[in-house]
Amino acid sequence: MVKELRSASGAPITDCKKALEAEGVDGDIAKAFEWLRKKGQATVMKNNRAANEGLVGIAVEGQAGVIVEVNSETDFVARNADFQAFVKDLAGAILRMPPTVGMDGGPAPSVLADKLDIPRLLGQCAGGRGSPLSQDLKDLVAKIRENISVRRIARLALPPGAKGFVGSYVHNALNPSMGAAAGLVAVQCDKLPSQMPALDSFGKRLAMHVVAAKPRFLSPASVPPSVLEYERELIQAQAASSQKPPAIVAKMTEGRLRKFLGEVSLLEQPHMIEEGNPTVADVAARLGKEAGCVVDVVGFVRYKCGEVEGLGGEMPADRLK
Amino acid sequence: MVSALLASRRLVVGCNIRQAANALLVNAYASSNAAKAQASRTLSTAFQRTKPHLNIGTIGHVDHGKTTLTAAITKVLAEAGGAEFRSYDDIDKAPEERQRKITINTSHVEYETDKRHYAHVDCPGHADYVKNMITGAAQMDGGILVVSATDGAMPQTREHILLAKQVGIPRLVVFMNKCDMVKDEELLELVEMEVRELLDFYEFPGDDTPIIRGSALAAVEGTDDNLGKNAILKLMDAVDENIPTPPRELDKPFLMPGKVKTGDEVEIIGLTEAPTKTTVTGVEMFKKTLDYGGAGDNVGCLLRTVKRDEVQRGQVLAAPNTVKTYKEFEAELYVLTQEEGGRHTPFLDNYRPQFYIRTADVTGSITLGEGKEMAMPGDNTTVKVSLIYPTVLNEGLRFAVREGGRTVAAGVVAKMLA
Repeated sequence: MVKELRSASGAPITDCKKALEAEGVDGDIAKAFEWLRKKGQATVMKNNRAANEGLVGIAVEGQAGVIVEVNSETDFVARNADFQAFVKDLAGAILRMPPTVGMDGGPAPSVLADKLDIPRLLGQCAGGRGSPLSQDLKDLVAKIRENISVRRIARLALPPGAKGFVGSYVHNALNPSMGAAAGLVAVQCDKLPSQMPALDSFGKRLAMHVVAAKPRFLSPASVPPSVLEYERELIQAQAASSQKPPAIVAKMTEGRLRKFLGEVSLLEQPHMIEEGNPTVADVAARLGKEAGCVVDVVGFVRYKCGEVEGLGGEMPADRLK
Repeated sequence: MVSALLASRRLVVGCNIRQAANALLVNAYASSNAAKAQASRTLSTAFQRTKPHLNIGTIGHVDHGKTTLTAAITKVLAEAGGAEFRSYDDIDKAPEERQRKITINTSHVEYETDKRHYAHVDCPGHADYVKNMITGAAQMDGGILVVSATDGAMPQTREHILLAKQVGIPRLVVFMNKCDMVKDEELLELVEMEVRELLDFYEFPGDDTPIIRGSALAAVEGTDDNLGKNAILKLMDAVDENIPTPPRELDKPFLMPGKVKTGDEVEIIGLTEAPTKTTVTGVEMFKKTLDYGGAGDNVGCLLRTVKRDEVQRGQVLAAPNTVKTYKEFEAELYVLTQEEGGRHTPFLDNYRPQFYIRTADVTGSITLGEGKEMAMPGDNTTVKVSLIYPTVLNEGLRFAVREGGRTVAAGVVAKMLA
């Protein structure tokens, strides 16, 4: 009996025994299973150990893609089939949601939606077993007994009616849709081009670049004024310490600010994957000429599992308002 | 002399060629461990036996008591004079160390039984362990799988055992922890059965693997000798008995004597299509004549009829027909991060860096593993390497990958191909 319940539930063995002996269960496997579920949910997350391992998963279909990061405490768990199934279910379910549900509000969803209400989404979406993902997550934690959490979710989609596609790349993939890091890029075209293979390859290679080059913004124009101001203050302080005349300091500041914008903006970055490292904007323009259409990179998102946000000279989060 | 012999991993020979005043470095090859074993055998006296040394690791679920077990082992063995007690907090710190510029994340503990000396590492994660193995910071000759009796095997226990299999650990010993919290014999047997089934599944000998029941906490706190101290002693006995001493040196084919002396036939091998045969006509150290060169010495060898321009750095001086050269091999790489002095950009298929293999500096190209399109700083990855010159290789040989004067990756030869 204990063995049967254990292989069905994967719960700790002493719990299986307790479940079968519990009041109202009286040796009924189905009832014991329910008892375990409740007990499992009660025991999880008692500790506060950090969960920084896990997987980044993606789901892409045509003009939309979803990227998720699910964390666990050890990277052994990333290789567990149940954990992988959850990541897959999660990304797939979010992709199938109507784009407006649970997103950052407003009738016209923007290209990138990443300020999502994760608990709400988990409660609304059903996984592969038909139960809500929030339930699946609890069951998974009860089984694996590590802290497991959905850290972030983003959805990248072209505006309705637009032509184009979402390209993707998964780094150190354990299977095609999940790995240690991943990138999605949204590529828009003014008309349906004749050379789709070239475009597909462009999308894939751009997503590889995104994973490697860690851009923070799409273009200099999309850098928020607060970030620009913060960076300007930093640079100005440095330049001022050089004790050069104010006119020179101003020039130095502008020069370094331009350099900063080039480094953090995807379109201005040298494409790491292309021969000779032309800028991403140049690669897109060249492709457009070859394919006979206008190729626009309109959005991207990049997740690396366990990364600490706010490193790499980024501004403190409290200034990002 | 004694320390020189023991410290040596291989015999390095500088060649002093008759016609040339300068010593040219040629790397004489001897099975690293053979040299070491020979050295320690010769040096052991009747009074002092050197215990075999093994690297052992604990694997298991985060909650099942690996660290407590490590503390328990040091405590129990400390009482027998074979260890220094390390508390849970000492071990748990897992300091980030920097070895040869590469950040490693393990905590090392050492102890000895009557039979052996052990270096003990905890294995926090799959990627961490593989990285440590590649860079040589840690390795496991055997493992203790810790399973809590209250929980039984966890879903990820499969992954723990699989890692042990993948990195070539021949045997495991199981410690069933927290047995003081389970009174029901039937449950203990069930857990045992499960673990044996899992071991069998990954082709470890499930039925013959010792499973020791105990409580690491009881051992640390000194409460229940039966499940505590005695169980730990039983566990270490099982480790002594069941985890084989890795096949060192003596059972390997004789590669080269630990000594080179005047009159020895040798060959200069590597970087050329065929080895050059020659004879040693003299052995010197710092321009003083030696009767022989031993492992660990820096010696110059005088070689009959070899001209200075006929030897190059990176070649190996070895007894004839003991080593082979290869141009292609499979390797495990750890790509250094920018903070570790490596690249800040990824590399793709057909990347052509320099390979520093022993003293050789050879260009080669890297083919990434199937399905891999790029390797990023911080990655562990399996690759195929094609060198432009034949180079003496052996399995387990470590090398550095360099580009523009800096090390960008550390590697270990997994398999020679051609």
